[in-house]
Amino acid sequence: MTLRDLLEQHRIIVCVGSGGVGKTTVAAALALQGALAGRRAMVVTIDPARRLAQSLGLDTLRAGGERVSLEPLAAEATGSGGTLSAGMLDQKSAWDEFIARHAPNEKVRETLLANDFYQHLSRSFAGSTEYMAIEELCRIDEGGGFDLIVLDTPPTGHALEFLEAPQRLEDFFDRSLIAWLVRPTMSVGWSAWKTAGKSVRFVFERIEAAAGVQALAQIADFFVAIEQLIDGITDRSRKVKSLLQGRETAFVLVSGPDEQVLEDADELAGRMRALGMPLKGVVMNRVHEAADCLDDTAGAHASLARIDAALAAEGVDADTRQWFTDTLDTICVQAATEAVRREAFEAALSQDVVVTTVPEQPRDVHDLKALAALGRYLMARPAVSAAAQEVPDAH
Amino acid sequence: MVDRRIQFVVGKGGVGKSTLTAALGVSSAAERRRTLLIELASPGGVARLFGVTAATGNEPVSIRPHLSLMWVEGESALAEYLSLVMPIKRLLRTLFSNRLYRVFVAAAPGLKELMAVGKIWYEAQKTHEDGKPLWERIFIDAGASGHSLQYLQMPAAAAATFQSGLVHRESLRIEEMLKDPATTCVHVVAIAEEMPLSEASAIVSRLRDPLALPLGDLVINRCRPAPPQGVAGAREKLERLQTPPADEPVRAALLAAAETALGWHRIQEAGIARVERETGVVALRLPLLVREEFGLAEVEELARRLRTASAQQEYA
Repeated sequence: MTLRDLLEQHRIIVCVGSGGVGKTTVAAALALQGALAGRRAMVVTIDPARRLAQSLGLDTLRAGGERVSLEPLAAEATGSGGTLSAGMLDQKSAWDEFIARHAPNEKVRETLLANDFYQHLSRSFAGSTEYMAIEELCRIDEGGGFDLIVLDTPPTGHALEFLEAPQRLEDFFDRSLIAWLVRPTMSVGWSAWKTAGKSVRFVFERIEAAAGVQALAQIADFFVAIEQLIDGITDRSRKVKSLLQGRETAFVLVSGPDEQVLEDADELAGRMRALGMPLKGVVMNRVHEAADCLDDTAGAHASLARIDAALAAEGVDADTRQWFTDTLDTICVQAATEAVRREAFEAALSQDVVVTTVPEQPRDVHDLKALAALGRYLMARPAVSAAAQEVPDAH
Repeated sequence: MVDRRIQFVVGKGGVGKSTLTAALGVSSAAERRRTLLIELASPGGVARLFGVTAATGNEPVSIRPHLSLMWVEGESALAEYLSLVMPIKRLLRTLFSNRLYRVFVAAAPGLKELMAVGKIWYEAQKTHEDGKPLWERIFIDAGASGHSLQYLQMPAAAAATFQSGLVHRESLRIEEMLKDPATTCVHVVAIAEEMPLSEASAIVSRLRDPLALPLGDLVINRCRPAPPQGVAGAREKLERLQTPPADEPVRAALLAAAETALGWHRIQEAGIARVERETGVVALRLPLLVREEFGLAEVEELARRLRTASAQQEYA
């Protein structure tokens, strides 16, 4: 199994991982490969990734998505009829649309949209962007215009939030809880109210003292209005979860070989197993690779000494010669250190996860051709690390 | 280097915020100042560097002479704060097991972040028996990427949201501390690559407006040394060199390594020049240390380099 098989066999690819590992670029490269193979592909990113827009030949990425011209790559297409669209998530308007879709009537909708507490919630509720990213995925999927959707998840330090977002939202809009809040005596009953009453009253008093009456009134208004949307939201949340766990969905974890990044990736992979989210591929980006010839330490040293002497004879000064050997040495140390960490990480993955490595290159993916080159490389790469090829790295 | 009693360290994930925070702390403690290191959210890089386990730490723990470490987590800071405001234990337990309350805590905009910064403020207010502040220096690792600024903007946001009441008053006090250029500064860390530098540039601009927080230094971590003067000529000679076939692979590896190093150095210099132009700030450079293990010895070394770089910066 290779990343190519993985792409061919799934309709939805979700790229997860910590920030700064090249997730957005990998997501775009995968969608582009799908398009070149003849599929109607869409990549949705979270960042206002200006550079990604530019590399796709667009001015900016828009919320609704926009068609990318594949003309420069006409010669590379392996299938016909493929298209690529790229879109960006706008968290605030995604929330507003979400409320609009689920509100039973105009009045409830207007009340919610104008509510101060809602304003804060839609911007700063933990996991808010994460949930909306999944919601957007669901919506595009239902639209039916695409047969490959690649989602680039939010660049949170803890990508875990993304996985837990549906559950968190469901908990937040827990019907019994809100009912209890809105109509305490009716849903809890008198006996419960007598014991709980004191502390509930106390909570309200404290919150009032701390937050001011105005804020409390806003919060209460919000819950009263939102109660009417709960059925819709809960249904949706369940649907979203089943979409993420479905057979047509594959999660691809993008990581780098740094200690911290790998620790996060490890945690993420474990959490995905626990939540039943199908982790099927890992792209290990920006890996340092030392040439095979350096494995033979004694031989390499002898060669280095001869080359060094030859350069000295050519009049290259000692400092400069030292710089060349130091530079090589640095890469060897990095490669060796990373290899140990990567092996430990990969050993903990389940057997059927496809791991694809991309070597570190001091270059930037800044146009469609470079994106296609990265995609081709990812497709051609066998599951286990092989010899380095010329490739732009993805960051 | 900008030196204030309270110093925050912010930046994109994976650029070395914990390392810089630890190095600043080690430096300060070496000068025999009572120093406190704080990690926001959860024990992370700093605790790991000093080999401190997660079991301790909600209160300052001494980790070496003059140096203590604690972490501040919003939820427990809030619990602690409430126990100060209403010291009735049993009621508090009921309160915290109360689901209604938990939802409010989870949902109240930024209350946890506010309390975390509030806890820093609380530590900063403590006095020593000599009448000076208990902590002569406090360095705060402001945590994972996007969240860094969330903490710093919270007091102002909370003061605006809660227009009256206790939270409003507390927020104003904390905001005053954060914005006082005689007390506080915010260091921005990046590595010399396009995206982290762009983010650093954006952070600097946000710190100025709308946050209006005092900027500390712009620190570029993991800088590569400048290649020697004659490197271009030497590379050409290496390319043309007639080597026996046995030495060919090593020669190719040397060339490839040089190519990579020169490429990164070009990206580094162009990037630093750009961010310096955009921010109007001269960056402070810390070197890339390539080691099999990154631990306390490396932190000590960076602390030394930090002092050298800082001295050079002042001289310039």
